[in-house]
Amino acid sequence: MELERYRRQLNIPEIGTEGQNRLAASSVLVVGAGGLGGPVLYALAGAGVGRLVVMDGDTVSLSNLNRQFLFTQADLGRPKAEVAARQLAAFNPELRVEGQVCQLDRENGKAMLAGCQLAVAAVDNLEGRLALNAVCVEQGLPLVNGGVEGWYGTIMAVEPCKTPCLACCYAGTTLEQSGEALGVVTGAVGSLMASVALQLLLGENPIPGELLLYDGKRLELERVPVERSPDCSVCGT
Amino acid sequence: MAQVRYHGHLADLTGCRQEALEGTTVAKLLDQIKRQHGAEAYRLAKRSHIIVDRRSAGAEKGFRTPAGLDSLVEFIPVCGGG
Ligand SMILES: [Zn+2]
Repeated sequence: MELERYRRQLNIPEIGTEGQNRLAASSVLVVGAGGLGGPVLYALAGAGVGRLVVMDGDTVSLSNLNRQFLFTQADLGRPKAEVAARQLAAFNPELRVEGQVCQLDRENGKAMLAGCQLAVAAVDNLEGRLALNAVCVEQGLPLVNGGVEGWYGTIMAVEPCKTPCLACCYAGTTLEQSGEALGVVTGAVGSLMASVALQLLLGENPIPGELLLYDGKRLELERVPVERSPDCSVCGT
Repeated sequence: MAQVRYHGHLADLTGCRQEALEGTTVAKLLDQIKRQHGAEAYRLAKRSHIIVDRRSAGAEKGFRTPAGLDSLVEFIPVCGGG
């Protein structure tokens, strides 16, 4: 590991040499390489997370480029997971980056999570989040979830059977997609997700049992406590 | 009276962040929101992520979830995009 690359973060007490080694030995699955996945992936790659698995079944389109800064005009039509993997490998050649051009479902989730200590849900739909949640709870792996809607975003850290899972939280909720997405909001929410992910890898959950709400219009952060649902179909007892 | 907290655009539509409303279930609170703040606020509240006393109403009894006198009911925008 080239320590000079990480010099500015090695002095942070919560990281240090031990934490840096821990990050280097970590593997993270990031599902979704779009508006949220981009800043999450850049932040984890920059911080030195040793192996990143990038999963996305979509291709780059022009309407992505207002917020998906992993891609350029030249990437239009190319698979996002492949372009993201290439871009991140160039950004930090010390890392192992694997691009998987497919959508996550209950069948392939277990294989994708093999060797990972953490997963990140950065997809653009509720179904994908709930599928990843179910696999993470089954495997006992922590999950960082983030989503946006216009000016707003929410973030949750799921520690299976310890904090509420996404099914506890989103059961019975329907998502009316407005299609509103802004780079300044996905960038902020993606950075918050990456911060939660890094802290979980280092052994701390900064938002246990809380839904973190980012209001990009008022520029506010709010924490809303949420409990596990005893009747949850995924993590309930 | 349950304490109701509005997050996101719903706070703009209702003109407040928190208020006390009469109602013993989520459905009855939604009726109050319609009466006091209009149809658009009602529609947005109804499709929000509703949390009653730290539990997601969707995982409890949906709109029939009881709201007690001391309940805190949060209306949060559903953020599923990326
Ligand atoms: Zn659950």
